[in-house]
Amino acid sequence: MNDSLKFSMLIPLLFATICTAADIKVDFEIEPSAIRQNESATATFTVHGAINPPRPALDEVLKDFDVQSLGTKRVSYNGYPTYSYSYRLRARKKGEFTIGPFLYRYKNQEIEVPFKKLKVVGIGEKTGLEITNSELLFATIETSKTNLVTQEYFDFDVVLYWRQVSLSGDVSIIDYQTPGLQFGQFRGTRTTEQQVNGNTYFVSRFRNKVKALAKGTYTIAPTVSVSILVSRRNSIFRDTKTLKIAVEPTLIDIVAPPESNRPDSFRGAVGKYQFNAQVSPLEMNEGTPITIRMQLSGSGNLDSALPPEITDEGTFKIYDSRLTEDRLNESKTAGRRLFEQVIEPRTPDIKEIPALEFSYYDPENAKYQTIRRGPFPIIITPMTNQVAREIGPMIVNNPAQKEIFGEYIEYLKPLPDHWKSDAQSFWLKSPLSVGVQVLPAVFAIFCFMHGRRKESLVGDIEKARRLEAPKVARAAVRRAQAAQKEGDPSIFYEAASEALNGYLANKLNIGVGEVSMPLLRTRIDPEKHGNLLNQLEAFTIECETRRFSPEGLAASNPVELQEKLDQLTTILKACERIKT
Amino acid sequence: MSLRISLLAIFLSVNLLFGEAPSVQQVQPLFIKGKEAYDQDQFTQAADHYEAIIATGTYAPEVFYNLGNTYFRLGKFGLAILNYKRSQYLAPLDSSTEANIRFAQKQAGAIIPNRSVFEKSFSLLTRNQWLTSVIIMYWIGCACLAAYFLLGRPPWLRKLTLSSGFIFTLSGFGLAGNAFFNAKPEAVILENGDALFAPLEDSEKHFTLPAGSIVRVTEESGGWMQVQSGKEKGWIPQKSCEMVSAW
Repeated sequence: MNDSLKFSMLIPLLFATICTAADIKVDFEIEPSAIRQNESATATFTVHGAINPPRPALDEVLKDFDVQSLGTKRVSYNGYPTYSYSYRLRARKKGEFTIGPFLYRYKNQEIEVPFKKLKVVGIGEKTGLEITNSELLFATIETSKTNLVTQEYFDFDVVLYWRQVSLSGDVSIIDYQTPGLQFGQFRGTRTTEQQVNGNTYFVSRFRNKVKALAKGTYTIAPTVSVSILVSRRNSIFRDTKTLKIAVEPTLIDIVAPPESNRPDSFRGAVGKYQFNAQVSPLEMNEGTPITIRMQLSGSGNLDSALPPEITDEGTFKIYDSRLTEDRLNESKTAGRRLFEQVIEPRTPDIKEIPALEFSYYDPENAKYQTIRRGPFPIIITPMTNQVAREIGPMIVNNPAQKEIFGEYIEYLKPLPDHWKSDAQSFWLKSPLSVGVQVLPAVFAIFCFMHGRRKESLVGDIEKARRLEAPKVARAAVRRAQAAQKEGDPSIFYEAASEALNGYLANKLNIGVGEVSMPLLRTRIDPEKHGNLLNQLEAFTIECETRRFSPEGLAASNPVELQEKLDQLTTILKACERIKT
Repeated sequence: MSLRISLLAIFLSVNLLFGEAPSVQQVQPLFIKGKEAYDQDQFTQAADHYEAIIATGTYAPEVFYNLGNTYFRLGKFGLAILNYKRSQYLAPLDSSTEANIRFAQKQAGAIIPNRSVFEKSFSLLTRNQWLTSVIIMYWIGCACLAAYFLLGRPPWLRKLTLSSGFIFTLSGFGLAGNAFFNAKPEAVILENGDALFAPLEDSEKHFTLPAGSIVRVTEESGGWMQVQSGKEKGWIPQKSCEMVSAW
């Protein structure tokens, strides 16, 4: 190894030694210092100048909180690594908590980490961190109206002013939900500059369309949550700090549309509307349905505006109206809605469809407006010979006739064959039945693997024979064992010879009759398995001698056969280690 | 002998999984009494008998159907439609139930919800039936797959495996569709009432819901339910409607 290579390997080692030897520094911060019970704070533990420092053991220190790890961040500045471990804390109860002090251990050093305080207040309570009318950072509410009628929409803007502070861009409006009012999504506008009291402020406006739902007086008191950037002492890095800015509340007064002069056709529409209606066909055969298409457009509570109702059930059979087109803007305060209503004249004598009236309340002029379309003259050609369908009058509210109609429902069901019970749960809900579902997949996988193995053996005879070798040997060894128990040396030696020859023939992919010591010495590495070859030769000669000499067979006894059997199994086990 | 024991074990297992509830003996006489009372125009007594069956925790689609008929005859359309719907929930393919629901809704002047072809198709089976069919097809598919590998991949078995896989996928699609369309549970309006714009007593009326109207519950908040009828959404007091599925 040359010198330069040795030196280059030494550099990281040297660097690591310097780093570990240097004193480390830790910071522990909790932001914000006060939260509500449904909010969370972020605890950040930062270690400066250590390599792969361990996580701080905070379990005991944060026992009053639900802790969720937010991950580890590693930055390197001038060769010094900094590790930050962040945790999200959610308090289980209200109160003032002192978190720490605690010890942080890194290698041989022990660093005492000072305590931090975290105040937890109830949901909806003030945390004390809210800022009102700070000269550098404040927010106001601007509304298009404060006196409204139910179903009227109004603009609600939260305007944020700031100067000489840097916002991190993370601004949210909270605590604005108010009963009786329906808020949409707040949408931020581009930041502009504005002169206020001789100072130039940055201004961000957050717009919302709010719908008045129920009459009453409501106070909207939102809070603006902003993150500002705060410089660290002696550092180029900056931290974010979350501030809650309380906004001066606004009163909204909502009344119902006036009762006086309210038209009968008023169905809750508030705003400025246009209404049109078309009827088709105007000439038809008896029994043909008529479609009335009604269009509502304009601005107001279009999302809940309903078309005029046709209530003359004696003259027409009336089907439910259907909304066929709904083209509203994003805040659903303007656009167009199309409705279709199908009616069927009950008799051919009907000459017209009565006029349709749509009424709405105009809050700007504080009066009801009614738009009338029709009447629509129609011509119905009567059908002869009772071809037309008979449509009887509706009898919903006629108790005398209910019984007659009651006869037309299908009759009772007979005694059921199968009953269910609350106590019986669905069969798949038991853990056993869920567990059993694994079996088919396991079986299919097993079959797949078995099939693959089978397929691979079909094309690879050498492998197939190699795998078959132990089976052949085991069968012959079993026969030898039986012969040993019966004390039959003739069968024993024959089986032992078959076990050895059969095993080697399959293992080495040669014919059974071809197994001979000279061939074995060419196929089995004598350097590695010299001893085994000698044992094989000795055992083969012994078998052959015993099998073909009557004296040899006569001299055999069960103890000797047992020894030979052990010898055979030892040789076969040793043969398993032969690599082919 | 071992065959007999195996058959007995299979019978006991199947009975344990799918068998009848133990209180069947108790409820059958009530069912018969309910029918007798109905035939004698004693609808209140008939309703009591059927309600008593349901109170035992043992039920069948036929019980809800008959109870629906009884309430219909009593003029309580909301309760009639509720029980028909419960019967239909347990036996979605029963045509008599569908016919009676339609008829009762017409009589009540209730709002008939427009259901898309997809919604109707996915509701042909209950969620549990869809799930059962998915699992059956899964077992059949796995068996075909296993046989395919074991028998040396014959082409006919490949087709069979693919077909069962296709039906398995369809069943899974059915289950997902059923879950999608029933994500918002159905409820039946029991008495004529108004849906309001907000969950407040003095809120404005939005639209009218006659008894027997079938709505979807989209939200619940402190004794109020936001229900959807067609494309309209409004708030009604929780007590004015009842969920179709109590299971």
